[in-house]
Amino acid sequence: MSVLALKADKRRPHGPSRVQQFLPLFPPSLILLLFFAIPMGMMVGLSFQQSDASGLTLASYERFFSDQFTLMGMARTVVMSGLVAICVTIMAYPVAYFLARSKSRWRALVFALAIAPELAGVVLRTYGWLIILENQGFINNALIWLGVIAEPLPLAKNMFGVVVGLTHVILPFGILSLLTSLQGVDPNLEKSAQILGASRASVIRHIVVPLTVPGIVSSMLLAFTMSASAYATPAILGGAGFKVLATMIYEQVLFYIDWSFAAVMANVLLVMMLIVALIGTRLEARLHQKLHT
Amino acid sequence: MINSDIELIGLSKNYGANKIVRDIDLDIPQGEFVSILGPSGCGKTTTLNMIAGFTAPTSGQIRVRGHDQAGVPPERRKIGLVFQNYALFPHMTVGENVAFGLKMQRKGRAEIDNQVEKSLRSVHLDHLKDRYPKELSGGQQQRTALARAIAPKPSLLLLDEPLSNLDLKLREAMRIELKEVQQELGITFVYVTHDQEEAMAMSDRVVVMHEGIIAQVGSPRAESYQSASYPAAAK
Repeated sequence: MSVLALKADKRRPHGPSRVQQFLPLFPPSLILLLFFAIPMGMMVGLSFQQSDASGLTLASYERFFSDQFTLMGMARTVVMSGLVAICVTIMAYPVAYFLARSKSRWRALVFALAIAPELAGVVLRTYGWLIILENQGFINNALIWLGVIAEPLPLAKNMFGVVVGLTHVILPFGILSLLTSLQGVDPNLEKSAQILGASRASVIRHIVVPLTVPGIVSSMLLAFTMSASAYATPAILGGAGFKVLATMIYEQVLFYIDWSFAAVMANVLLVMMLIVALIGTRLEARLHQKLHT
Repeated sequence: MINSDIELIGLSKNYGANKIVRDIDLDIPQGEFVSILGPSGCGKTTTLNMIAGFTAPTSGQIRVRGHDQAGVPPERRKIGLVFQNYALFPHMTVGENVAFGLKMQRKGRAEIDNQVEKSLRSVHLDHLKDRYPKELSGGQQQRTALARAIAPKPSLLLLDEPLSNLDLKLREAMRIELKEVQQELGITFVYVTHDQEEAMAMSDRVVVMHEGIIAQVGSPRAESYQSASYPAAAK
């Protein structure tokens, strides 16, 4: 310890020593190691084990990739997350654009309203959507009362309901990530395009959207990963027949008590998100490099 | 009698109680190079924004070739604009930047190519057509912005401190080039600057603005400008 202190003293004129520089990172690293890295490692280990056999085995993986049911769950997870990513980004874009450009006094209110949904818990909001979307729910009752439909529309307990619920939950994150990107576009570019004869729609299409593609990519990436790992919304709005990886993992752990199979699903989900994140960040970096410096 | 290209009639702009531009009158004939000179906050940029159509006047009128511009959006005013920070589209090449205005006018492919070529040649940039703005020097970016503004053949070009981001030597060279382009094309130039020397060097007429009013108008060769008769002009 005294040796370290001596070394640090010698280097003082050149700023803090290496040890001192990294010291603040120590507590969070320890927590990450104890509660994230070690459990993750255990989970990976678990996926190669079977309760009735000793040693390592690929049996759980074979089961996952040969079972129609689990493969369907994986495909459903990808489709659901992809749809949410698209819906969130399309809906968040105009809001973020307004927030980035407006000087009106309504701006603060719109910003608060955009972020406010995050104040209520996910479960609470999801039950709210169930009340609106279910067969005896607000929309179906209103449409039947108006005589537009005779039988309730299938709005909940399916993909539609889950995508609606997740889009609502994740929208604020999409708005925030697009906002940063839109604020980076010089308003003079839009003015220049306008004076050169471009209508509002042309300015958006030819100038604003192409310059915010990195933001669009990051918004979609964020929405995709948040959807793929969401549990409460697909569980409540999807109903018993709607199985995605997150809800399947829960079932394996609590009802079937097959931790090995649950670990396989968790790893598949993890690898899937890592691949999407890798493609997304690569694309984003390339676009960013093309547009700046 | 020379035809008026732009007329400002009793033009005012208030932001709340803050009177930015107060009742200015100005008549700019076709083909004139007019500088609006004044310190920051004198209302010169607001005046420019009103002519371009980005800001609506509180009262007064702007006429372009006799037509009242009230309610006409910027994209239909057929005006060119050059910003201090150039505002080049970073995702387009020099050629695509210059072609943008012509594309918006839905001109034919051949005409666009021809006009892009011509505009780039007049600012000596025809060899850099396929470069991206980030690959250009400050002066080259400035010239690209100029070429982009003149390509759709506007009858009026507004320039907002276009040379302020360049170093002195380049600035002096660009003054000559700007003047040449203006004379060659016969376009009316409204040039906003806080640099008196710059205004003197290029303009047919200098309009001195101070605290929202036109303090002085005259030819740069007139005796009064050399003297310190008006504090804003002498600065």
